[in-house]
Amino acid sequence: MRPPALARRLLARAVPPHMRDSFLDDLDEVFERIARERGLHRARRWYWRQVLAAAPTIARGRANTSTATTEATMFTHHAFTQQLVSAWRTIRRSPRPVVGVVLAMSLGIGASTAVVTVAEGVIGRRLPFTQPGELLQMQTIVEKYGEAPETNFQDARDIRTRARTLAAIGLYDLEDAGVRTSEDSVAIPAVVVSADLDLQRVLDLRPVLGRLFADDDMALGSAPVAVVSSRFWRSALGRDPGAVGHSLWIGSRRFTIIGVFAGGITGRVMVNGSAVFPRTCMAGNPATSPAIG
Amino acid sequence: MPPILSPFELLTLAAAHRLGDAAYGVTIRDDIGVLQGRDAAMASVYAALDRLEQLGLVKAWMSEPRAERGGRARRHYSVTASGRESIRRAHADAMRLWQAVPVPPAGKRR
Repeated sequence: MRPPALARRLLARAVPPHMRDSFLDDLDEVFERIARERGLHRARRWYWRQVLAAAPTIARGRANTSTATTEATMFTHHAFTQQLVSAWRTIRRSPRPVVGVVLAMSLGIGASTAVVTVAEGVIGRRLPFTQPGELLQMQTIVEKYGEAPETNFQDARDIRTRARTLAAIGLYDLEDAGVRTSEDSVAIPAVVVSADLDLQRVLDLRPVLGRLFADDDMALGSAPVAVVSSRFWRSALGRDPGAVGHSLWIGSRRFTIIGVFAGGITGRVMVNGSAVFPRTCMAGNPATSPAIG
Repeated sequence: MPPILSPFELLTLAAAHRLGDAAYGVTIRDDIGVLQGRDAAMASVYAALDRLEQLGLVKAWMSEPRAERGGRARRHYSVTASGRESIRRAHADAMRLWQAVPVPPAGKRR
């Protein structure tokens, strides 16, 4: 008929060392009395309640370091369990305000979590590129009208020629389009990127199936070809290992899939800009391609 | 200036005074249970006794070694003259206070 060993060890820390033996002996005496009169189970419960009552002192470990018991320690000893009991009585007496407070706190915590999650996703998360800190987007500002929606293609080409601090400049144009995997299938909404050759390098794309764009794909009169992101390949093409060589329809145009890429941008279909904007990209006419450097 | 005691310290001091030579941890705890109507935690009793001892209101002494404690002695407490004076003053203060306060009639608790 021994008290719980762990509880005994914890309680030993609740009193100064010079009182410890007497304290534990007294606890044993009461424990044995309760076990004799009301059973061992109740005696064990009583012993653990003693640990709970002494928890503040045990947690601080002050009894081990100092024999002086301050007024604050005393207060904590008595007040801890009293405050718990008082709180429980208050809840039972008038539960509505407590329910209100709990609800308000739940909503507050939920809202804070949502805000932090969104902020983390939008601001805190690194861009999915190899060197996001070295990536920048060009923006044209017209003195009279402010920000232009796009950068003139010829301006971008001039910058590419003269730039000394930019490793590469990729040109692209974005379009929300319906992409079909067969001529009569349902269109899947996707962002279609009309790209030039350097964009692959700027975004550090890697082929996981087939190949990326090559010089020939950007030549005048080249066949319309497309590379798709690995996410698009999974969701729209069902991870088809033979997807390379199949066709995609974007509007009325048919593109041949030449590869699947990973990294950088996701959920996108990238087509060779020379096929989409043959005059603008290749002939150097003023065009609508923003530039990435 | 006499030390300011918390209600529980005063209760512990009163229990030790009531018990006389029989006052040690277990009996003091039991007596506090009788006085306040509910059990006290043993750690609280010992914390109160430690402070009362530091204030010089009680004095600890060790009993003869006891077989049921594996040959260890009990730590008993006796109330010092200062302790008795504290009890006397607390008693007088309480009596003066409660004699001056009319007892409200029993009513329905809201």
